[in-house]
Amino acid sequence: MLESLSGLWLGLSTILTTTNIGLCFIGAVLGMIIGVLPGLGPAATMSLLLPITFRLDLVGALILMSGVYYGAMYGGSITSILVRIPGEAASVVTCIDGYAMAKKGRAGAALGLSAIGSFIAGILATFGIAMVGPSVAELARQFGPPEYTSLVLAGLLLSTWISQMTPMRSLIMICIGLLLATVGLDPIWGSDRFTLGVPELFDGISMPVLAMGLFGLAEILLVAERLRAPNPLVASDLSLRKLFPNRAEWREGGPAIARGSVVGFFLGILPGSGAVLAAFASYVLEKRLSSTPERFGHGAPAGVAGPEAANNSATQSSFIPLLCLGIPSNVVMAIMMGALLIQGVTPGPRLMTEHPDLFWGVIASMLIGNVILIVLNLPLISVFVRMLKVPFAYLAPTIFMFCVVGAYSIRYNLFDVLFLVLAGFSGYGLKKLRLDPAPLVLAFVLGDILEKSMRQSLILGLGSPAIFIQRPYSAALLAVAALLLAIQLFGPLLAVWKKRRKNS
Amino acid sequence: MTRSRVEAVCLLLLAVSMAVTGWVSLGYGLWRDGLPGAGLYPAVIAFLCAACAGVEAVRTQKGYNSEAEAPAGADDEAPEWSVHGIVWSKLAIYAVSFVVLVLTFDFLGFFVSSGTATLIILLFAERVGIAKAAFVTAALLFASYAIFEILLGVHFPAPAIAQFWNP
Repeated sequence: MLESLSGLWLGLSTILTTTNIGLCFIGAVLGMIIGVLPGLGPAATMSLLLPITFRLDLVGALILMSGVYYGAMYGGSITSILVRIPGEAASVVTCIDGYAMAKKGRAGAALGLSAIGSFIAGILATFGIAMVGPSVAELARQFGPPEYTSLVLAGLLLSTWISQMTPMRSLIMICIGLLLATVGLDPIWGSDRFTLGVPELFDGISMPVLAMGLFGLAEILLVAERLRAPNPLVASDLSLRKLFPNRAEWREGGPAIARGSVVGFFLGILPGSGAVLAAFASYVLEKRLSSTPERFGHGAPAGVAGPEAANNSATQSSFIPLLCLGIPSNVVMAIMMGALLIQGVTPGPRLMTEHPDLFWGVIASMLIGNVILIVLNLPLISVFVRMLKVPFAYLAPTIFMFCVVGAYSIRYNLFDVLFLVLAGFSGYGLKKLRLDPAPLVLAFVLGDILEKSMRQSLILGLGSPAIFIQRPYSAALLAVAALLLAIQLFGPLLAVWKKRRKNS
Repeated sequence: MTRSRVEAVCLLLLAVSMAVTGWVSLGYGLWRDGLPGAGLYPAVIAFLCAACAGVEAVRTQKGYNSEAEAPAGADDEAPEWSVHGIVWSKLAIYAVSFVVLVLTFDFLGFFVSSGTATLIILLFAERVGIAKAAFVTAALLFASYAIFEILLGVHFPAPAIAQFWNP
């Protein structure tokens, strides 16, 4: 405990220089802008920043890059709440209740809950990293491919609980998402699959493009079809007092923030899309714990506060595997690892002893970065909400333009723009068929990990799927997944049987 | 045709297309040199999806899902289904502007194609006055240029047509 506190003190003394605070500020603001803009995500931005980091000292470079990362998580929720376009994959869940709150004139409250939830989670996660990080990372190290397969399966089945579709429809969307993730080169054999001879598909489908199409463009079409309807996104009162969450919303959102922080912290440590999984898991947890689960999907404050806290907490705890084990937990961490390696530092268990200023400096920068973000975010809430006053006639082409530029900017590829439009119309069609695209996007994000880990497991098990139940963690996670599925599929049947028995 | 029937037909089509996808996946190989082949995973997923879609099509046709709620995050009211209230012409204009953008993006470059598509939406779908539409389009193009090209270093494609003017 004392060691962690003295480490944090060392970190603070390292970061509290004009240059480092300036870099932290630039990173956080840049990240927030990136998060607001659909398309160009933190990974792309950080790769663009890599050449700049060569000219900075290592601590400064990492502070700048980590600022971009958690700044993007803050920013990603803004567009999710206001226009239902997730700036980041982890903000997909926020679209559900955040946008519903915005439509009820509570956009400011949703943004406030999101910003404050992210801030609290960020601070708690920072202390969590300092206190229990190394020992928790040790546990995560015991996870191999079978455990990841089971974990992702459980995560995907959890998403059937979020959606208000029937479980069967959720499963259909999950399967489509998993299949879309297989488009491109096979990860083991390198042969192409479902590319239809289109070279642009060899690299697979771009996740931001898919999400922008299914959520952003589809939403434009859905709103556009109501010709004379007033803009549903207009907030009635823009006074600062009315913009912030009221007492009832705090009562609901407060505990959700606390739970989301804990869920996010532990899921963020696991390699893969920790922040995405954390946000979904938190949403499911809140819905299950709520006495009024039917409000979820229609503007429940806990549906915004919990997932936002979870994704920010997971974002920060995802630094644990990189800094403590030298294992990047996602693509952003991989870029950060690249920056470390280029500068001659190998991340891993010895980092804490060989470069304590670097290790604790990055952790302390999270504290400063979160403070910078909350100070920037809260006064800007009224500005963001005022954007809703823009008539839809102007908002639609704006969203359209930014989606197009965002889609193009990811890979400088015209095909992505074409795919964006296709995904937009598909999303519109899915909505008409009462199919929710959120489980599809989650499955798409996790599909790659699921396939790789499943195939690696089969190789480890010499072709036998028994490996999934031979390992205790994997078996336990599979049991959870099976239980989730059974309750979802047979729960309604049981209810019908009970009802019939009661009637007879 | 009732909503349930249309949904059932679409789900059935989905089931068939997934079965075909599964069949195509088998061609990639299920097992190769003692290792899982490229087609194993997509085949399992595709056939599972086909089965789920088939079951759901039958359930929908039989009316089991008639009381299903709207998708999470959807509007409080379920998406409109019947043609009443839906302005098809407006949707068609949006579709046309999207298609115009895709078709001209490479040839005319980002600015002309995006500008044209935005103008089409503003003028014909949203019925904004020509002066306002021109101003909004110019502002959007400038904002895109300033944020993406200047601030973030994203290079927009030069129009292919420009090569005709090169010496």
